[in-house]
Amino acid sequence: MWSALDFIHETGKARIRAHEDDLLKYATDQLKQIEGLRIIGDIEQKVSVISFVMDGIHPQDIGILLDNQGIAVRTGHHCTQPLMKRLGLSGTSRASFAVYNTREEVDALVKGLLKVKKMMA
Amino acid sequence: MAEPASIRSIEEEIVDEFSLFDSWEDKYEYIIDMGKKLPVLEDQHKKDENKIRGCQSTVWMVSEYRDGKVFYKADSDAVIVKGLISMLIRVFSGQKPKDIVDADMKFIDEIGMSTHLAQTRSNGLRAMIRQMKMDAMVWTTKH
Repeated sequence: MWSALDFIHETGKARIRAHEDDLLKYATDQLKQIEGLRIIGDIEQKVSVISFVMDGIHPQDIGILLDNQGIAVRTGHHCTQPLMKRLGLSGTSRASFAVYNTREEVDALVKGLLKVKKMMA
Repeated sequence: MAEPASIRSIEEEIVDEFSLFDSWEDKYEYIIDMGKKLPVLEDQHKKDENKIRGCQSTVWMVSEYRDGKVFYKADSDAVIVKGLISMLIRVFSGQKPKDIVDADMKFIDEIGMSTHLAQTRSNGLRAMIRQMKMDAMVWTTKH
């Protein structure tokens, strides 16, 4: 715990925030290139998470096939059943980016999702 | 009427089929394919009482009892889950209740799908097997 706090203190919250914002913007631009993928929640300022759905593919299928490629996302209702109901969704997949993630990992996510699309076609 | 193959011999058939695949992609493509081919479950069965709890995706399952054997039908909104269900139905449907209850389902481990039993996100498979065994047990008490 102390080590984590030291790390945050030494790196600086502003730098962490800038890195996360960069990943969020980069990932948003990249994911938008995937045909049939829709980002849920496009507010200007948000923490670095992206919820999305893909045409005709259940979030659980996306999660399982990404997991096999070494990519971890969260899938399902995210404990927000009333919101999902309001949005008319059975669930989403959600990628989260943190200080330790890289643009290369965003590229791996995009590549992984293209593979999911191909396998489910 | 000829007796159906035993649970274990159907399991062995599935294990043989999976032994042909070298990569996880091939395995999952086969499961996805089985999922897409699973016969449609009529809408009348897609009600809450037929939903299986513990599944991240929605799974509906119904069973009936004929001539001392249990027959299952099921559906899901997720394709991989449908593929897994399709294998379970292939193994269990048309078997005697006692054989279903006693089955240890070793083949799931043998085809490398036991991660679907162990992880919370995939508790669907475990819940499905439990429900199928429960149904089999209930049918024995009714007859």
